[in-house]
Amino acid sequence: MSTDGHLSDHDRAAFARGALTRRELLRRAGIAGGVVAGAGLLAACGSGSSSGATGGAPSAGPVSIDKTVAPSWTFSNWPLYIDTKNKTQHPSLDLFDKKYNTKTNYLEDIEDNESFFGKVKAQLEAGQNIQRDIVTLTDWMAAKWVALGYCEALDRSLIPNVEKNQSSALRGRSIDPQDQFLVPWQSGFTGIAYNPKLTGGDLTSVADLWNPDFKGKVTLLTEMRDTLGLVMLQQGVDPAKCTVDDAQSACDYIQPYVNNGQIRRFTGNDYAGDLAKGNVVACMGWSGDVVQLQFDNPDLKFVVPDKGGMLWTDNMMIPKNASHPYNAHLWMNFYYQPEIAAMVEDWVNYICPVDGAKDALLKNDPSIAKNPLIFPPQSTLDNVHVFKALTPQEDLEFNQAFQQLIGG
Amino acid sequence: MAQAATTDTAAATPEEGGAPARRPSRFWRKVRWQALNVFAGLVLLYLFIPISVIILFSFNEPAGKFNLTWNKFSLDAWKHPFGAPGIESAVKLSIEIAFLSTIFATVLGTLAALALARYNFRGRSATNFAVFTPMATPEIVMGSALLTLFITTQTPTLGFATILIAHIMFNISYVIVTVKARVYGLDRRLEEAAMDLFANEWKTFRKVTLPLIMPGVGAAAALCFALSIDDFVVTQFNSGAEITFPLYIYGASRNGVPVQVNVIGSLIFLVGVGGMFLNLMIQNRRAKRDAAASAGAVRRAQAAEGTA
Amino acid sequence: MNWLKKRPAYPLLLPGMLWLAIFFFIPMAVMLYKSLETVTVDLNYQQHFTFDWNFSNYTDNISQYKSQFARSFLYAAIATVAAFLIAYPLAYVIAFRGGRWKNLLLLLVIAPFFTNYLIRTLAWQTILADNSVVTSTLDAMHLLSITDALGWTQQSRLLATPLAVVSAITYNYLAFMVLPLYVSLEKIDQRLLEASLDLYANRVKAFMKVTFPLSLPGVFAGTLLTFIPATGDYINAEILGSPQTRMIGNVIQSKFLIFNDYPAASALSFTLMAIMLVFIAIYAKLLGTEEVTTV
Repeated sequence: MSTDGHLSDHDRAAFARGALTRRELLRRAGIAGGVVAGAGLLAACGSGSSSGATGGAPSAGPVSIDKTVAPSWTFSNWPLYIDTKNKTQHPSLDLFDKKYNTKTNYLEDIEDNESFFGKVKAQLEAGQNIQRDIVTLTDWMAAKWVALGYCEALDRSLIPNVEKNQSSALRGRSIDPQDQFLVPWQSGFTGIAYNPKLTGGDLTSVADLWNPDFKGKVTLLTEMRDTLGLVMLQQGVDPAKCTVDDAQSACDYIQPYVNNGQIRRFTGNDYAGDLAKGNVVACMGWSGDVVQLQFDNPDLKFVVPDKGGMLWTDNMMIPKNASHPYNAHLWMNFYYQPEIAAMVEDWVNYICPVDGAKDALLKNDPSIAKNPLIFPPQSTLDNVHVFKALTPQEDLEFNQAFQQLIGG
Repeated sequence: MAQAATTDTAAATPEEGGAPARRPSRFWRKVRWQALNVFAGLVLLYLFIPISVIILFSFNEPAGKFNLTWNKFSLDAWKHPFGAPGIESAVKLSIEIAFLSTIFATVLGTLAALALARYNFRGRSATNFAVFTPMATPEIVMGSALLTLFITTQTPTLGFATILIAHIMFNISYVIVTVKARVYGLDRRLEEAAMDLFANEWKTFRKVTLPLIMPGVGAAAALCFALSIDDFVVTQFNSGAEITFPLYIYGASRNGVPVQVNVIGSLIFLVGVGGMFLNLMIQNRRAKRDAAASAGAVRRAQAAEGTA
Repeated sequence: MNWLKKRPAYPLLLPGMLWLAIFFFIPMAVMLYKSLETVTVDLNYQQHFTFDWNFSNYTDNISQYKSQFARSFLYAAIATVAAFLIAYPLAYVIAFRGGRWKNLLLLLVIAPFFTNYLIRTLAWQTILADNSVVTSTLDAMHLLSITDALGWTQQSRLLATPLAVVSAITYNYLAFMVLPLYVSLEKIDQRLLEASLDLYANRVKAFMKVTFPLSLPGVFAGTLLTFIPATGDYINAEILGSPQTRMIGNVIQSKFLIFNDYPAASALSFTLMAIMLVFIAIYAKLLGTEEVTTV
């Protein structure tokens, strides 16, 4: 335990393993005692943070990593984003653990880019270890982290499989030109998820959401880039080149439907529950989710709107001052083997960034070639767009306009 | 009171008072009487609707990941209450925090309650008001203010320590109010007699005062534990990346709350209610025993005086 | 030591009050300070705060969110009145007709609140779902068309409507209304009641003129302890509400935790606190500080 009273990594790992012994409890009481006695020292504690300059510029050069496998490490991800058996086991992670003799602590605690960032922001700013070795965030949030210097630079020599198999479309992106910080995990589409039984037919465009029959049974997303992106496409604007005025006009377009109750709510991942239950008949949603939801409700369908859908990528990255970067690299390398990526892909049904994964899947199960979510036809791929990378000022203005819309 | 109710028919004849003798018939008075009871009964039923749903759905095995529709009966979740990922550490953290914050808040609060109830000092009413304010402040204000303090002083680790600090903070007021009520009811003469006997403040406190206020302290501790284990708002603001059980539920609610949450919620409910019930029985027993003892004493006294 | 012997209260008070001072009162001051800062974001997404007596944080945000403020007070008020109407008869029955079962009944009243707040609210989500037993029954009774017309519900559904939010708030804070009412009703001397029945021909009149006034401290306590937390509540609105039911708590939460706009959020939070303080002060004046803290 460090002298200024904070829990060491050992404590946290022990805690995670459930080692709540009397000794641990007393030690915690000791911390609490220290807290009571040293309440006034908190301000002083502020300057006693552990290593690390706060960001401003991204970290320069690869980090020299201690190349020993740590006994455990932590991987933070979105829910239902990895192969799952019996609701809690993950075969791909099990294989990894067995091969490298380690224990992966897999957390599904990223519900939303903004709120996750809000949770760990203060620690990152102070240069603290956020107790996670990989986090998976969507491109625009990943770009923020890179700009703020909250990511560790990768040692490319440790991830040859990534070098070999990373999809060419995802190399050298503007958010990470030298591929120094980010390794794509999955890509996906934003489109319309709906229940054809309740809508009385198939939907094809964003405009279908405004059907008065669906009043009060439609939801949009709180992810600004997804909602405004789809609406902009409906209005004929290219989200890759939009301005604040375009954003405002998209908000104005949506506003009347908020006011008259057409739109029930703005949701994060929680559109899924309403859709499965039938509270909502059609909504903006994410492609792979529908496949999971079909276990709850087999009628559900997903479609990319005719005027265009959004494409995004979630990226693995190593947060600054992570404790086990070597394990993180090992996992990235392990995942980028086609067979492993195929294992995950078979389950999550998003778009795999690993070349060769689809071939591996086809070999095991040829019928999966018909799954348009895993093997999108070229027409779909041509119809999806990426949202523009916003500057901080634009980010603020876009968000302000959008918040006005959601804030009722 | 039952007597007053049944003598209703005998009272209030037209001879008394100025109200004209248009009393409703016995039937209607009975209806009115029962209506109140029925209403109270309905309210009690209403109170139990959510908990019934929660317990019911803890026996559900959902088809997919959302436990919103009844699918089929299963004891799976009860057999593996920690089956969902992350739930075990969340529950353990909640219990730890509840324990520690209860201990500290009870100690700090009891001391303060003794001071406030016993002694008349300058600034007493101001202190009373100061103690009351946290209880009457919206949680969001308390939580956000504390977060602002931590951010401004750049407390590095928003986590276990900050959650603990927050919980002790809001628990203290409840302890003070609860224990104060108990201390007020204490007979000072007992302590004065003890002082004559023991002559030592500390010993008096330990052997006389403390046991007498123990029920109040116990109630305060139970209240603290319950408040702490259930707290969401203040914790959400000050937990950083740590996850307590309520925070876990909040996070899971977007993506399908696992059945285990219902199980653990039901368990906490049963333990809490069971505890209160037990306490009730003990109180009843004690009251009966005291009544019997004093009745026995009275009988003996009467026998001694020869007026049995 | 002599000084201490003379004023034994102070050392007893010190630890507890110090804790409250540091972790409750000082943060309020800090929040006030923060609310007068201006925040700017630089090209690297870094936030910079400068203290410059920026009162526009208050004026801008209060005017921008005045409907959320108003809505919070309205919902809290309705919930408080509804809770009062539900809780008073219950407390009355337990206090006066409970007899031997008083404590058990009280336990039954408190028991449901031993479930976690969030789980309770999520349960309401299930109960009030669009095609649930409750919703279908109310719809069949045409009650939902009435509430639609009143604007309390929409499209004959219960979820994501003001009615759902207000009902949930009422439910969740009911215990805070029942307990103080019970305590003050229970304290009433039975003989006063019997005397009142002898005086007044009418039971109702006896109640209005004797019982109710004697229970007023409990009424005030219950009202305060229900209204104030309800105003700052945001969970019910988030889980059971829609964009039209957003309360000021939702705004404060998102500004603090998601957008990290601390000056604006602090200004809103402080304003809420100030308004609540006014209510508490009125209440304290009416009853005296001793009564206030002897709930």
